[in-house]
Amino acid sequence: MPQWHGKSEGTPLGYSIIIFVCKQFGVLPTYVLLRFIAFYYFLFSWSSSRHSYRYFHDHLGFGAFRSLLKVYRNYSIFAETLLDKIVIMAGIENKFSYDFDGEENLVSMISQGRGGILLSAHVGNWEAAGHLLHRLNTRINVVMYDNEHQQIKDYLERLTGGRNLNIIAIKDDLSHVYQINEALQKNELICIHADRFMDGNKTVSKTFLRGQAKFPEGPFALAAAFQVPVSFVFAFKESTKHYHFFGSSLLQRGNEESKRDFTSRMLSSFVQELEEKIKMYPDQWFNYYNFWE
Amino acid sequence: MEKENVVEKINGFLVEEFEIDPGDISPTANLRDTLGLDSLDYIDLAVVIESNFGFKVKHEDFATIDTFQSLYEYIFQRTSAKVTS
Repeated sequence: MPQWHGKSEGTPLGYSIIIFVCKQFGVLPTYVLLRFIAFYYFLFSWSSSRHSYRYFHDHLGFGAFRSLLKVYRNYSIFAETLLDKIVIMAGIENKFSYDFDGEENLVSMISQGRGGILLSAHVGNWEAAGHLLHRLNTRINVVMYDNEHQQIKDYLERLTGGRNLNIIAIKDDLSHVYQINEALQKNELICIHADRFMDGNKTVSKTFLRGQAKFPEGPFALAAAFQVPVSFVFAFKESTKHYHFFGSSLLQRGNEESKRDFTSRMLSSFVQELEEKIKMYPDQWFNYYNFWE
Repeated sequence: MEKENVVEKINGFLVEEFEIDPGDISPTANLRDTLGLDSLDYIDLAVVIESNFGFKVKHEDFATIDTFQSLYEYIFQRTSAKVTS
């Protein structure tokens, strides 16, 4: 069954070495190191590469050879975005620039005073551009599954000082119920990645990039339950030092609209928007498992 | 509010919000299984309880709520406490 198993690759030691190199030599030389690491994964991590290959070949229609090149390119840009995220959030000197499409939508969201939900996906590098959202004068709470690699999370939190972004872990003790509720009442934003699910989560099957894929229902049902504005947010790397942020128009549940209808409308819009963005930035798809049924 | 009214109100919003058959509800039935709750759905449950009864459910209280009967008891106790305080 296509589902994510809740753990990401990498070790705290690996992150430490990369950050050390970055601090000593700068961002661009570190990219060179990352290309070797990407090549290592390309050669020796077939368990994830085969899924990337199928994504490029079967779902985007690239030829066999080009799909192989794309697999390497995908690892390489993924590594760069991880580094960029840390550099930006930790305040390490950098020269990144940004285009920001739809900032007015997020300003409008905050001005309503009810908080809001940002739905994103494991594409591009939303968190890096999300750091810029501090100018919205509210806090962003990123909802994550608890069994993401705890050591890496702790390391990144120490490095970034936990500024601007607060992590709410989905735990068995259900503490996230209270935290999400509280955050929205304080007019804060909740960001959830709405493309992955874990065993036991409710899913909905949608046509997505020439196949049927399952999407989690939970993030959409959450937005419908709270009746707060929703925006789809994505950020993609367009060049070595430039990102493009997208924040969609707000979706809101109408007074007469049932929870189910709104959930369904949102999910369909999200899948359509995600597909459009993927076609614009095909190399920045970072789901290394069998996404399709 | 009388206990019967509380039970009726709870069953009403559970049927509506979670789209279950009223016949599936019985006091001893497992709440999580019957409603098909996953970890994010508990937020939904907390929201509907708050909007219907006007109090927040503490996350640790969910640990004690495993059947419909325990949910009825919990809400009845909380609403009674609210009235007397």
